[in-house]
Amino acid sequence: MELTKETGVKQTTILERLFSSLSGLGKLKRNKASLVSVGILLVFIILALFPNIIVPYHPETMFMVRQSPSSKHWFGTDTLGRDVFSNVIWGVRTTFYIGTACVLIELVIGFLMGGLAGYFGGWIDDLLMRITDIILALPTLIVLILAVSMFKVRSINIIILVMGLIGWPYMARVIRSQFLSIKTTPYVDAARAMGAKTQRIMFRHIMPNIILPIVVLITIHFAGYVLWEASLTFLGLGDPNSMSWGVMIMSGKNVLRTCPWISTYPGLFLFFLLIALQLLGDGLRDIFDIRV
Amino acid sequence: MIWGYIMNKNELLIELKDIEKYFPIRGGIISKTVESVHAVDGLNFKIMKGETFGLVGESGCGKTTTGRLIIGLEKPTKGTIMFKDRDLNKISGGELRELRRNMGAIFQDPHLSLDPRMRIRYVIREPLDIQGSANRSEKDEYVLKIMEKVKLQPSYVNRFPYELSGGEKQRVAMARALINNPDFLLADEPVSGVDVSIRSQILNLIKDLINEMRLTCLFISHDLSVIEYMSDRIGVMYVGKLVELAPVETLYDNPQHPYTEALLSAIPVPGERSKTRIILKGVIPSPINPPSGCRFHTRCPYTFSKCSKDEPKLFEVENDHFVACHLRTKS
Amino acid sequence: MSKLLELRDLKTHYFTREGVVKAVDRVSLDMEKGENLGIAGESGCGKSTLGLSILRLVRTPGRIVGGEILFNGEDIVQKSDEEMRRIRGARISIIFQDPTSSLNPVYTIGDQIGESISLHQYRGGGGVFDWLLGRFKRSRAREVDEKVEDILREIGISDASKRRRNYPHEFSGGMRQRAMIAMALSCRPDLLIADEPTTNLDVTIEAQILDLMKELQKEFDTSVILISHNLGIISELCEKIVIMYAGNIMEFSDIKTLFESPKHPYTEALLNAIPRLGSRGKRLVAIPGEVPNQINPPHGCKFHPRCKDRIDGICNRRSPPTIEIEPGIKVSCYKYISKYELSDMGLYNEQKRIVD
Repeated sequence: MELTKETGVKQTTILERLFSSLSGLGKLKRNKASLVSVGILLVFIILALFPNIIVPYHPETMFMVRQSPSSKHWFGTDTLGRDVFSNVIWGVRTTFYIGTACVLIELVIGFLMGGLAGYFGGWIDDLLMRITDIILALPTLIVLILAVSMFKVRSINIIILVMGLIGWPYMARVIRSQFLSIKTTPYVDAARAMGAKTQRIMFRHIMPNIILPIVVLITIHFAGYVLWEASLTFLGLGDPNSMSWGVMIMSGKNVLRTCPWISTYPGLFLFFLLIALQLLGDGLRDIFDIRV
Repeated sequence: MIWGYIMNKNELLIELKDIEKYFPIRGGIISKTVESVHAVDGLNFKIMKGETFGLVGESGCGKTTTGRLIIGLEKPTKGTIMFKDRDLNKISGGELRELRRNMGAIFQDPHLSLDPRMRIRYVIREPLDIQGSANRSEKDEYVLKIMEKVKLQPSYVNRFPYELSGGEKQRVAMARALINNPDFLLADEPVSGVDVSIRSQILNLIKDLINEMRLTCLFISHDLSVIEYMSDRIGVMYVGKLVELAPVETLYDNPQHPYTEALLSAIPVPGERSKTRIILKGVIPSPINPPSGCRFHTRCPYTFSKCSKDEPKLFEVENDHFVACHLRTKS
Repeated sequence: MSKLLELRDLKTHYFTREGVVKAVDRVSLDMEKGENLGIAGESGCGKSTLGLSILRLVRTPGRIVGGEILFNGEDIVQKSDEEMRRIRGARISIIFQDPTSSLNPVYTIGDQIGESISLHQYRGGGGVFDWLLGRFKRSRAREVDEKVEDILREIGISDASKRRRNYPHEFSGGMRQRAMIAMALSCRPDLLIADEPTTNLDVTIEAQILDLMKELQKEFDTSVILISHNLGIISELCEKIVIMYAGNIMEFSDIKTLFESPKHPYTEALLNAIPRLGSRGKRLVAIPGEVPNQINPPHGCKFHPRCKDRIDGICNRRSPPTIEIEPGIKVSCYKYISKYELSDMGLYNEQKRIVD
């Protein structure tokens, strides 16, 4: 029976489904703020992927030290003579690496802990939530400092790992409460009544309905992790080889009055990234909300 | 899909034996079980093949829990449930999944019964996807066929639930419940969440499908008028127990239990101002700490000394008509 | 003697992002003192908004855009906020569907009923200072407490002196609704608006509450407007009834006549569509179609797409006028307008011929 001919009902192939979800991006047009933020972020993403396009010099090349901004060095040079502009642009990649890696860590752990606790309840919930509560109760900055300083080597990957391991409870809690509330909905009941296995319920029914609040949380946390890294660097615990904006701001700390450009420009870029992420949160909610 | 054989009305489909379901209330730091909600406390009844069994009662009576127990959404604390001669407690997970092919369910809230992120075609198709019984184009065929049966336009297949009205969502729920051609349908308050003028559409639809597809149905409602319209036999529940069990004519024409009497007289009739209504005193007891003896004794206008001490058992007062009341049982 | 309540062409609209919802669209009705009026209709018909409009409690994005509400001859629509504040609770009261969310969980029942009393029965009541005075000045507090206990006893809550110290969560659903009724009637208002007061309650508890309302309204001489989709409870309590659909009044009648010989096709259809006790063998006649979209309602008579008696060319052109076909019975339907009057109005059926 040829469905399309008889009833005029179109089959949706996987490709078509993909396209229709991409059309969600069109919804961004409504909100001016999210358009701006998407613009900024796109620029950042391109810079992160292809810094070579715009970077004039290799970031480690040393020129004359402490030159103020000029046509040759748009953002001036730092205390070691490196071109600030090139370093800032290369820093985009590092920053995105930090943010994305940390968010991924917290999502994986968060889903495991929060999802299992929320879905199964009982002693599993109790156990997992006690662990979560313990970590939440720790004073974050102090623990970060302690944890990172325990390692002899200052490595960006260690910092990322530590931050992810400290930060996941915030995500786990939200995920757990989402699981709890969705678990009791009639449509999940209906799925169980149909004989759906646990995996199916989790991935087909619960996960897609969690996206909305989580997506906004992700943008907030991304910004948070970037800031944490900058703070750690500021306190002297950063990875000096990583060329993150935090490191750059830190390096200009002592010469703030004489050579403000060294700290200011990386700081500005950090600021814009954080604003863009904030504004994006709202836009993302619109994209993923089916009703809008 | 072979319905050519003659339906044997006396064949048993579902039997509940001494079913108890307690929900623990946790308290304290280590979540000890402090008390229990006695949702269902010693339930015994049978549902015969082809009949629509109505379960009626007010809040806390355990009717919804009973429905959930029968379709396996909850496991009983004690007792056995037989579905088609299989003991639901003793079968494996895989066998239960197989058995689920024979069950369909629709629930009260049409707006939350469908996954808001799934298109209608996938919502209706899901039982087939889970059972893995057909290939893709066959499945879509079944979807369209069942949509026709529940009178939903085919163009709705690609829509999302939020685009449909409450009544239409219940039709989708019906389609989903019946696409596997089950033997049994659980309908838990299917029209309470739907507009008044749409209720008759849905009730008639359910009735027609029950007849057309030769379904056995457990119809749960708090509304006695709806239950009368839909059921062949009715069970009246009160605080976890079955207090009266009778065919529909007998229950409404000759109610035996004082609670059933009160329930019937409490229903306001459009167009009449009732002169004699039995107004019960007091509140419905909580299932956490149910009254001793007969649970209705705290509100019963005919209570006497035995009622607070001994719990009455179901007793057949006339053909197929059972009551649990000391007043009616000859001891 | 002026009527207790008279609504003339009342219009309450909600101005939403998607469009204007004409929740109450030119509603006129009247009510005598000592009479109870039932407003029946399905969800979305505007009956709740009507109740709120009478007390000017409609929240943004909704507001009253036209018409008059005459309470004992005075137009409420024109009154100032201060005047309204003195009317609410004291002369017109309202109770809602869900007693749990209408009661503040952090104050005792006694406090909440007492608040109503102190606000209205003491001079200058209403400000924060007066409220504090009411709580801390012993003599005032004692007076209020006594009145509260009296009321609690009147509504059937025994052990009043203990129970007034209970919090809402310590009361059952039925008792909370009683507490709401107590609060609403504490100042002996002339009019009580009850919006779906028993919908969330079990049948046996509903019977108790209806009984209570019948007693109290007689004792306090309060007239009741009962808003509900349940025609049965309206029959229990009211003498007159109004059927609403999509913001319009379709029929206004007394209980007996409405159920014995309904005039409007919607009323007829509704009566045939609700399952009733004893109608075992009879098949329900479903009303086809769906409840209309509130932003883009059907043109002309809002019920015409679902009406078995509709006349194309007339019913979909213009909204039918309300006419009084018998004393005390009003309908909004072209069936009751003679062909001559129709042609006078410029309405013909599709063949451009005068209607039969």
